[in-house]
Amino acid sequence: MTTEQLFQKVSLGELLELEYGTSLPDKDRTGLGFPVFGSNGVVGHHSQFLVEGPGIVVGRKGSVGAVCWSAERFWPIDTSYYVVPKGQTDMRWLYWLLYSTDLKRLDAATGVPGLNRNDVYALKVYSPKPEEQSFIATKLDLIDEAIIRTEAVITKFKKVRAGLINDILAHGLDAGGQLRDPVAHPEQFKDSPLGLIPKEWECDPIEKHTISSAYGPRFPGECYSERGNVALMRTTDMDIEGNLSLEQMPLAELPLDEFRAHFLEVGDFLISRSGTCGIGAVFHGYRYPVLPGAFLIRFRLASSLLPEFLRLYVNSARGARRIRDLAEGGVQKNIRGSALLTHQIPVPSTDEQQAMLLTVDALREDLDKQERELLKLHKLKSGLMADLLTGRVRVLEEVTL
Amino acid sequence: MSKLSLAKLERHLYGAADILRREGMDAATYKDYIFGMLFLKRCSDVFEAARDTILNKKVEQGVAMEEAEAYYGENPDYYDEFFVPERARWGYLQSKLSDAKTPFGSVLDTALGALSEANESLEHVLDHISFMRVQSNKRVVSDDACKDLVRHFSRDGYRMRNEDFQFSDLLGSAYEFLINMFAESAGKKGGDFYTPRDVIRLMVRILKPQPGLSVYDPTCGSGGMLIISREYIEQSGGDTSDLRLCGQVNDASAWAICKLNMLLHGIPGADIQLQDTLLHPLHRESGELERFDRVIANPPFSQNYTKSNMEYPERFRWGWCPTTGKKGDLMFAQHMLAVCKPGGMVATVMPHGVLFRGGEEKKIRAKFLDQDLIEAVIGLPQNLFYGATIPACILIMRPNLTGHSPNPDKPETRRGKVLFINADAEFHAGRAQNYLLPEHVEKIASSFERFEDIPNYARCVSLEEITGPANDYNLNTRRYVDNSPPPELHDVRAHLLGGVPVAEVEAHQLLFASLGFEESHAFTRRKDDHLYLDFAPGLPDRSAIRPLVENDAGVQSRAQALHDALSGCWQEHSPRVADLPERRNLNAVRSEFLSGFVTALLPLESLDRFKLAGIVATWWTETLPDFKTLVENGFAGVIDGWIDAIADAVEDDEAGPAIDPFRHKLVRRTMDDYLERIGTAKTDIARLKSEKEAFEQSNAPEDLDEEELAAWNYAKDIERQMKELKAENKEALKELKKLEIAAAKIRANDADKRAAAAARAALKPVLEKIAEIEEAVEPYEKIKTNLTAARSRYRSLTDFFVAELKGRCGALCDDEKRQLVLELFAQDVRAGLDAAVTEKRQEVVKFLEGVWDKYKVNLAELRSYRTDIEGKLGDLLMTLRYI
Repeated sequence: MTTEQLFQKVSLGELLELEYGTSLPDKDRTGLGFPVFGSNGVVGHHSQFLVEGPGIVVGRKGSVGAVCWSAERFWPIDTSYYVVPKGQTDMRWLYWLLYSTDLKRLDAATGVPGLNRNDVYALKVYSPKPEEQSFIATKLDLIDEAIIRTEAVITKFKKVRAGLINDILAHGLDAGGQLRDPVAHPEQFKDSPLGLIPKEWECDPIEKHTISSAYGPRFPGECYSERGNVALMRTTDMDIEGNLSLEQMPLAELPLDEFRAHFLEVGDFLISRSGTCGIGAVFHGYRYPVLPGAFLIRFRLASSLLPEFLRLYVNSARGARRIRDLAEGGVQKNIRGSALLTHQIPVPSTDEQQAMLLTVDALREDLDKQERELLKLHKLKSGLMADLLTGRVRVLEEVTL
Repeated sequence: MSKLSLAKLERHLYGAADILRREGMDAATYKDYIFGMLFLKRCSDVFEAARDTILNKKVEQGVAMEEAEAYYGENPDYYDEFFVPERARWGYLQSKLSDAKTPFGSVLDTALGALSEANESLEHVLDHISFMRVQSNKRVVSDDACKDLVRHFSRDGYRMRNEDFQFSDLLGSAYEFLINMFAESAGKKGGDFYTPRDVIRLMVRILKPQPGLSVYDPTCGSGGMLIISREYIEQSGGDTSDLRLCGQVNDASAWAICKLNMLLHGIPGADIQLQDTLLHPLHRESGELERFDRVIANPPFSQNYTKSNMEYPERFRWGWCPTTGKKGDLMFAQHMLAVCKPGGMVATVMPHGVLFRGGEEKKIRAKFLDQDLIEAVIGLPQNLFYGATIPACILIMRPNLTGHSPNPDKPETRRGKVLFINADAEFHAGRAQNYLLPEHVEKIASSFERFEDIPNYARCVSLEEITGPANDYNLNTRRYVDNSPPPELHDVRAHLLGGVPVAEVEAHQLLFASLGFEESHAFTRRKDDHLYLDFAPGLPDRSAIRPLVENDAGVQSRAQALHDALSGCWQEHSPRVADLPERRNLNAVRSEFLSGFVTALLPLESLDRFKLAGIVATWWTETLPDFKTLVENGFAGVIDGWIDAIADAVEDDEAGPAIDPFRHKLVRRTMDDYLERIGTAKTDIARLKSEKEAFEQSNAPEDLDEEELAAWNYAKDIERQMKELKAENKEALKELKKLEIAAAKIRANDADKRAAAAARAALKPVLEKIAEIEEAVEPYEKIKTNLTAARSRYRSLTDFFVAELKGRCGALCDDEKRQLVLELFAQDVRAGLDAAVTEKRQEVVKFLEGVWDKYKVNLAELRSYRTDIEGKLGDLLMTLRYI
């Protein structure tokens, strides 16, 4: 048997038909039962179904060409098509085929995006025999499963980390590096304005551990320049954990001497005071001098309070909730520097702060590794799809020849 | 004649607005014309009745009709209400509709002018309404639109005398509806003259105005605060005749709206002034500013003000905000305090900024606090006000003549304290606006009354704490009441090793107990492990959680207990509803229901006090129009009102039906069998229609493209075939017919018969084809006949629906009517209770699903699944010879 016979290029219209879904307004849905599919996934549930599962839904209006899989019986609404395979065509293989095809580029309509099914039918694809189709589908399912399971591990891991940070910030680590236990050893704890904290800890206003603090300076907008000599850090340059993306910072052309006093130093602690309210970050240096933006407050801390520890605290569920209460104003919330200075936080010894940070960092590294692996799997999936669905790599050769 | 219901009148007015919208007008422009037209019609209708009464009386006294008309009918002195001169009477306006000589707009303008000329109290009120107004060469309202308006307001069934209304303040309520509608569509401008009624009701509930007091709004807009203060007294069964209502507003258009609002609500005595309140307060008594018992306002947010020519500057004894920088808010607050009688109360809406801003505002705030003037700070949800998304608060204050703390005019237990209520998280999110529902209003108002700590919601704070260095006169509600949800817990050991932490389950013990749900049905204890639980065998997978909770015996029996308690409570208190027509004490009955319901159901520990009160408050507000009808027209009146509303909806007014007539509670109770018959007819129609369509779509040729396919109609195609066939063989068929007639005659000879047979034989293929087509079309014809029959069955059922309903309800005796109405009321309360319980069950399900998702699978298991799949993936890549 030649490759040509086994693996022909045919138009999609020979493999499938796209049928219109049926309108089912939100108010008519019963809320429980079979999934109702819109143009881009499940939009609700209803006690009745329109199409036997499993099946494929393709976005027709709105999310043009989005491809969704339903393992059970379902109801596609009128903004979508559902797939009726012709002949022996394998449904799951069709799913992968459509998923890997860029249907979005077929968007024909002006205004509301729309997909014409005749355009879809006209697409030419490689179509192996049905048994090879199902074989390809199961292989691709495998990598999908690997991605889902990796994601599950990562999600779980993030929860573990959140729980651990909470426990560490509540109980601290004793000299042996172990979590203190308030149930077994209540004598190791004391009352404070922040509730129960370990005996060795202090409850201090941030002020007490601050050498200096300042709002970011303002300067005229026209100073921004791609060839500037100073980088400007904005609230948008930090994510919700306070990780900085320094390369995104805009540059400005400014007289260095005039602004020198405002330049960030390595180890400075920054906190957003408006926009995103109360997110803490630590500056670790950059190739340009960096100015904090007007919506940031910069703290230079004494050696008794590690900036990374303060960041861990203010970004944790526990700390963030208390910082949020300082915010004033309506739509545009604002935290005042003076309110932050008098804000009380738990302060362990620097050794303990250090030990806490090390524990949390170890988890962070593990998480990063998992996320890199996940990214890799996604790339592998794209590669495999391209190879298997275009016949570049054959799956059934050994079996059939 | 059926009485006009609020819903019907509202739709009528909406229809009038449609006429002007078609002219391309926006709400800000067309509102005045609608107001004007409504007012003209109302005055004319009332006047005609008064005139008839006078004339009849005079004729009875022996005066000739002509004489009576000339001397008494046209004499303003004989009328208690507005005198409407000839040119402003509706009949006159109608007679001018066909007069081509005068522009109709000027007829209307003349009418308005004549009306205000004849009545002193209308001076300037109607001035700004001009139907002849021209804007860049074009009339704003075309003559056709003017005429359409008059025709619209002339429609049958919309006469506007008091006896035509389902309850007496219907016109006022309809006017409120219009103002609300305009405010909503006017965007930012809307907020200038309109405060959402739910906020006002809340403020009035707190201020509790009483008969005989004076109520004043220094920035009264359309007058809602005053109207609702009066309504509150009325619904408390109080006498409003000696209530003094005063308002001042700085916008001429708002002033006119306010004046009309008062007139249409039947409050001609309200004292509404037009001027800038900060510069020229106009309510004075012998040179002094008048003092009031209740001062209530929603001043314009964050505006500048000016000091030049300011009268009575001594009002601002607590300090002067900068005139620029948009800081006028506390100036209004000071004015309000200054004109409040000792022992009186002030309630004002303020932007949040006044609670914490520094500078002069802080100094004023400090004096307010040091003199113990502030009783409560209520933080409201954001986006409640038209055109202002910023969150606002309500300040409740009491003046203090001693000038120092404690304030002797505060209730004793409240002296030296401020109650903070953080209500910003509880609201109903609308599309463009958020709203306070009756349950939210009830919770805030009752928290104010209780004046005690409520976790995450309200806190009584001493002045020392507020003025101390930690808070430094900062009144930001969040400082004192933190209502943010607690962060989600994550038990590290459970994530790593599995199991559900006992602590997390125990934290929800109260929730479980409130529903009667037994924790052991979801979790099993481990041996020798008091820290972690396992999921019970009754929970094999996640989807089993909801049925487990809903079908739980304990949950079911608790629901039953709640129903029983409700029935008992209803038995006890529903006679008060039955007494309403006699006692008219709406608010007292409302409070009795609230407290009775809470007392009866609180011991079951299923729902908290506020939720329970919220159920009654919501039900009460929704049923209030019915209660008003009940007070005025009795139980039979309530049923008639429902029937009218149902009849309107069946008629399908131009604006579309407001309710689904067939789902109305009265219909469902009394017309069950009839509804079933309608339902059967409806399904028949639907079935036959789809059969018809299926036939039409069948037998499509295979070569059609998508568009042709959509247009394909088999029935039409057959018809076309038949036509073509007959046309092609027209002559031959005609000839055949002739021959056959000849052959059928008695005198016909063999030749005739042969000729006919021959012709028939020659046409055989054609005749066969015709027969074939006729056979094909036969089922289609049958479907069509059946469809027509089903449709006419449906139509006659719906046509007689209202008559049938009227007949059935009419056959009830008074006792039965009372019984029926009370049962339907009770049904609504039960529905509210059920919804609240369902919501609670939902919470339990959500919690169980949450711990399931968190802890059912542990990290080690997840990792091993992953290792498995990675192994398989490796094998695959190997097979594919990648590696």
